[in-house]
Amino acid sequence: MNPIDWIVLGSTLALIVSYGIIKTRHVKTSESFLRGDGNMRWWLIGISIMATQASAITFLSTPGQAYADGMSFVQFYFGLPLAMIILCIFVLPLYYRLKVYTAYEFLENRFDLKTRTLTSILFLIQRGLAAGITIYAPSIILSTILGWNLNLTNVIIGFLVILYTVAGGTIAVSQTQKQQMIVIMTGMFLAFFYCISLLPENTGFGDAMFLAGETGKLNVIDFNFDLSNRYNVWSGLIGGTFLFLSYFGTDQSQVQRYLSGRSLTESRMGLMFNGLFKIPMQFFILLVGVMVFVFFQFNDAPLHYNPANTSLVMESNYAEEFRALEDEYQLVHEEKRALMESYTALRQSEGPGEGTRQLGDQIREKMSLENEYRDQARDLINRANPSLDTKDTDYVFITFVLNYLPVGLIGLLLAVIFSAAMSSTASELNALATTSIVDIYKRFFGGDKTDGHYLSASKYFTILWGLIALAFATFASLFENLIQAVNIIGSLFYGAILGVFVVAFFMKHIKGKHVFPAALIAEALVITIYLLDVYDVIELSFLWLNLIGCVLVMIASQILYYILRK
Amino acid sequence: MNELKTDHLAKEEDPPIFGNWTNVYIWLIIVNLVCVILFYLFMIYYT
Repeated sequence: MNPIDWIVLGSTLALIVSYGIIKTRHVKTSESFLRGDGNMRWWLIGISIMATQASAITFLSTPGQAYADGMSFVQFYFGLPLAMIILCIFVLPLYYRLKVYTAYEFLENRFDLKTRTLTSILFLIQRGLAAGITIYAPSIILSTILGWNLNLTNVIIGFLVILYTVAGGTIAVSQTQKQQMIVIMTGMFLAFFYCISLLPENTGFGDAMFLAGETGKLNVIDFNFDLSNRYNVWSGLIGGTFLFLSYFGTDQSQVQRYLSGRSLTESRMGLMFNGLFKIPMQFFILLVGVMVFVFFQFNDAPLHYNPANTSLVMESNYAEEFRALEDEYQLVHEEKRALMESYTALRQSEGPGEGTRQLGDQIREKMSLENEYRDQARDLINRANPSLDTKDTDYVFITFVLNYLPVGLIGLLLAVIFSAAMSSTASELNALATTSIVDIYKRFFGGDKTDGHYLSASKYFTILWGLIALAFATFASLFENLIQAVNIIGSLFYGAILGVFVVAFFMKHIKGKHVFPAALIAEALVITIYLLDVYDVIELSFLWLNLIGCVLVMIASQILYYILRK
Repeated sequence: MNELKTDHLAKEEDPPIFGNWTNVYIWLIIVNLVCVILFYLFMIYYT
């Protein structure tokens, strides 16, 4: 990497971290550390919520996803504005009235201590593991592609986050997220426009979009109701609403962001801000991916984007086969490039018609041939080492950044990835420390302790969770399927946790003795349904598990209410 | 904690920037619907 890129990367990160520390020198009480000074403006809350949700993997994986499967992923977010409205109406006023630090604190007030403790422990396990993955996921990609030491990359991200999160708590998290979002959006916009400028002379943005449309990448809206299809309007609107209700309403890493607002109005406006900008932002990131896809149609595209996998297969007995496959792939790629150039020229001169339709068919034929070669390449890698992860779409965007962006912009885009990783991790550590202190330490081991004691304890818990996340990030490399496992754990628990909250808000006759066993029953059923899907007895997208878990808690609570009443 | 009525709280608050809260929610839905329609037109136009 060029020294200028190092300077851009280093100075951006140093500025953000120093800003976070300097801006929060005044934090001297546990209230200030855990909930902020109650001074946050709505736009800062909105930015903070968006920065917490968007991790590094959002900016690495999402463009790669658009490259491979098109833009259908944007539909996943269609339920988000509805979730924001429901939270503003029913949840926020209650949290404000009870002046809670955590979402789980409310559950003791409404039900009992065991329900509060169960949900807070579920959160600590789930979020503690996820924090490790938030650090590990970008580190593994950066270390693979840049040859950096994986553990060192983990430690750098983890150390920087711990530094300012321990110094300033929740205020430091929000203040730095403002800078991080500026860096992220600037970097992504520059990458997008630079990508357009790299297209052939006679191919503009519109031409690129027509090519993307012809190759099936602009599948933004799908109205077909299909339970096994993860991304369509209905799964996004129904499943997505439930997922985002549980994420934004019950996950402390998000609840903490809007509870630091100056007033209920400011917090509501913060959520509205998120509801307004989230879908366009995701659309834009996917559009960057589509643009990178078009770019690679006119430039040399590797057969497989993960260089570590390619080197490994080249050192194995399958090297010859892989090389032959690469040659065939390049041949098809060249033919397709020529077809695309003819398509663009014909479209520009004569407009759409029979000629462009025929060329479109030929392009799609070549594309499916290319995909076959890419599948065969993955198969060879798998045969060379069955334990390797052969999914290479996460490497597409970073390959483009490192090989085609100019000096300086590469450093900025790496700062984007680091910033995104740090902004999510900081919120997570902050929330983990707050839940540990408020729902466990203070609740069970509290007593006559000073505020200074709780402030120090909050800082120690932040360090502890930072170290746990780092340890988990280090071990993650030893178990290939760990990331998948963590994602599954998340989707398995969210529904039941949301169900407990929905019962708390809308089923006033239900008590703790009903909802606690109901949550356990619902959880067991959700796991059973998931296992039926794993063993192909049924086919169900994981998004629906959130809805099913939530509804099951409500039904089981009601049934238990009738049984126990008699 | 059985009394969970929260409507009165909104009344205690400063009004939001754009009219009352119901208007804000309706506008949020309208803006997002417009976004979805634009995405749809975008998809139809380029495919």
